[in-house]
Amino acid sequence: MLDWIAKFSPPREVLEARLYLIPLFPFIGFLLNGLFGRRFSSRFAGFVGTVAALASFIVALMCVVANVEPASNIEGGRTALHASYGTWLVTPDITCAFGLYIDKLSSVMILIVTGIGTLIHLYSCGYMAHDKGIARFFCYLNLFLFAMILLVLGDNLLMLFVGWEGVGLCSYLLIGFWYEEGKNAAAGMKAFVVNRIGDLGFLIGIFTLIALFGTVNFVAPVELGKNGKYITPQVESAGEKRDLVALPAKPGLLDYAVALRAQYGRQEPIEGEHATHIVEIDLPAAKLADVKIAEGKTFADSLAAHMNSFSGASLAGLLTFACICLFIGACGKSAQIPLYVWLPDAMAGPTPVSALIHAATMVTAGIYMVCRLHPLFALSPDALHVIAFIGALTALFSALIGLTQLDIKKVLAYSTVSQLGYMFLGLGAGMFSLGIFHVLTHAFFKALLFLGAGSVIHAMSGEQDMRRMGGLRAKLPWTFWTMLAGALALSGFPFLAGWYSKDAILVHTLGRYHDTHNWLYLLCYAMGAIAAFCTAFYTFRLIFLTFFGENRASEEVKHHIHESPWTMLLPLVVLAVLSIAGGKLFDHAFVEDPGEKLGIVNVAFHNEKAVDQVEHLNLAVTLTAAFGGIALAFWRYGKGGNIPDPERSKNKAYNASFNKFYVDEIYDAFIVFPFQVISEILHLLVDTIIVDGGIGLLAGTVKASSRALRRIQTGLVNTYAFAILGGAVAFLIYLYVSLK
Amino acid sequence: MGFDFPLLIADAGLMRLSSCLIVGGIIFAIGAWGVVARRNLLIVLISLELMLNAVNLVFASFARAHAGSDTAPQYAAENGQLFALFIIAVAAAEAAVGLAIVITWFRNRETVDTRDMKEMKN
Repeated sequence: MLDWIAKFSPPREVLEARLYLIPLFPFIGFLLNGLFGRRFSSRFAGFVGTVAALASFIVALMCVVANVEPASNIEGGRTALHASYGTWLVTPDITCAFGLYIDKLSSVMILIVTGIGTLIHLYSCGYMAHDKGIARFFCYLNLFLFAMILLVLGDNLLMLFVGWEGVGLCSYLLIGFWYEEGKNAAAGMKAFVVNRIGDLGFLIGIFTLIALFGTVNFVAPVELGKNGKYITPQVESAGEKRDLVALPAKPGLLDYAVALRAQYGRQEPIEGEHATHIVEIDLPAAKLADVKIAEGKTFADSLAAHMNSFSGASLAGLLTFACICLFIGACGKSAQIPLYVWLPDAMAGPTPVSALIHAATMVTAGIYMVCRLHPLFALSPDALHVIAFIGALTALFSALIGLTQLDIKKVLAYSTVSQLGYMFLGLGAGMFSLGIFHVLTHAFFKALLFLGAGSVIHAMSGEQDMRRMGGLRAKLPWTFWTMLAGALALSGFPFLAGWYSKDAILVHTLGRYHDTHNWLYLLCYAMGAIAAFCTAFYTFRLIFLTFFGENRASEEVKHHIHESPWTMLLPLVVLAVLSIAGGKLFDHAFVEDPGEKLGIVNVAFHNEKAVDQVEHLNLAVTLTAAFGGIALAFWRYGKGGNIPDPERSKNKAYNASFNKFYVDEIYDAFIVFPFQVISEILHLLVDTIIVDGGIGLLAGTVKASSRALRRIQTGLVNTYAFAILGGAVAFLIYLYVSLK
Repeated sequence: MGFDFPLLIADAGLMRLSSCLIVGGIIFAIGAWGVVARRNLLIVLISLELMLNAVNLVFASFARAHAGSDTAPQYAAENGQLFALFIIAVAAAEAAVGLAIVITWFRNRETVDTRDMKEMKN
């Protein structure tokens, strides 16, 4: 298959020079639908959007295939495709280019973004066919794809940030797509505002990194050589000095991080081999001022310029600060506690949007960002602890809320927040590749579940409340079987996609506890395991309530129930196949050999066998959780007739979960309400009295003076003539006097 | 100021430049008074013509005075005559437009008294 694609793709150099095609296609689609969409028929608008996404996917696929070629086959051994399309920003501190960069990590993401993006565009052709705003919808969707591609392919933090903000904008536009209803527009604004809070943290993190390293590039920038090929400045050999790692001429953030790791990492020989393994970074002892200066282009040399301003500060402290600030940004975008509240509300948007933006791609941008910068995060164990704890807490907390929700999309939304928590738990355990692995598998099965839910909602004439569904198995067989595959994958059924990634994350968390005896990881593992049980339960509660038992819809809705068109079913089938087979397919790359296959260097274990020793225990726990959850859901809802009725429930725990633990109310009371009070005070005091008063005073003065002045306008021609004459005479007198 | 020298006028024999300037000044003053003080719009327009022709007279006088002079700036005589012609042309255009406005006004209001034209007051 890879060879087959390689046969049809242009040579590597040509691909590298044409990397811009990947974001260009969706941008053209955005322009076409945005400018001329009003004149397009709904089918043509969908066609334009889908073809744009598909073209982008094909180019991306060719680039990825060129990328996985072994380094030995490539001139210069440079596997990543890296192109620069001009300088963007030159300041005394930083220089950055419009650079696009595809290495193995961004390959994974770009395939998720464009591949699942294409499927969801196709699905939207069917789902949105009856909506009069379909051209506007595809216009936004293509703009989203463009921004997301910039986010993934940007070769520096600022490009990533531009894409980051771009996807935020599209998210806002698409959540409020049906803006005639006030609550949809409000949900869009909530997402936008909450994301701004995270973005502030993200920006501070970027600024800290600029102050620390003086660059925003991930890797050394490329230059266009004389032969029209892009060249990367070669790394000079460090020579004899083993504690200093050589850097390219203009090192990027990751080069610095790798150099720091090599310089300060405590190395231990791997059993039976001569190679060494960096097991622990001892940065806390290192101060920037202590960084050794050596001849040649070394880390210390490049940092010398920046050291004066930070000479007393602890390098570890600054790095931890930067990493946690970046993680706050990730919390906003990837919906982690305490900034997760926008994601459940974001379900106000059309269902394909929920699938693409709020499950498969945009919300995983935070995980991607951490993975992109993983050598930096690996230097800061404290930041990783924070990430692991927040991730595990989010996984458990939102899974608990998901147990009792009645809206089919709300269940999936809380499930998404929960799964994003797992991804961060994986990152926090130092296993960055597992975070991305779960991004991949989650993109398959969660997009599938959302699209399936969309198919159900479509069939039920817009009904989203599971209390009025039921018994749809016979009427929507394709939707049922594909959703069942997605649900099994999500619950962690063995050998399906979700099982591989979630199980790997949990076993490595437990392994990390076994290895370091840090109780935090045990706590995280416990939370993750309970969340896994909840996941299985709420997923099958959804399946049983929707597809089993009696149909509880009104007669009119029942009459309209129909299976969806092929444009909607094809993506479901493709995603179902990926949800079943996707785990096994990629297991080796992400779990066994991430360094070679993905270029991701996970934080190594002291005790290599730690994971092996806890593997069986973990397997017992996760399988119990998965089957226990499914069994409980079957016992409670499988037989039908047992319909949740929150209004009559006296169970306090149930009510707390149903009301989302009152988090929105708490935020309203402690953050939104004080903010409104302060705003009101400022409005009355500053705005009304000082600003409006000042302006009013000025206006009043002008008005009064003009009332006096307008008397000289007599309206008589003669007066004006006299004024002209008088002026001429006065001017002549002035000339005469001044010339004399 | 050094320009008080004789002018040769074809039929009247020698005449002083100052005399011409004094006549021009008097006509201009009469015109200015007419524009400012008279209430009849037609008279105002005629006064305007008087002012323009006073200026013409001054231009022509200076042009004649500078003709053939070594001390005068280059093309001074030609420029003076040119401006006189120019002003005649502009005056003709102005008179045409101005009279048209006056006639239109009269048709609408049946008056040409400037005291009745107070639409722009205040």
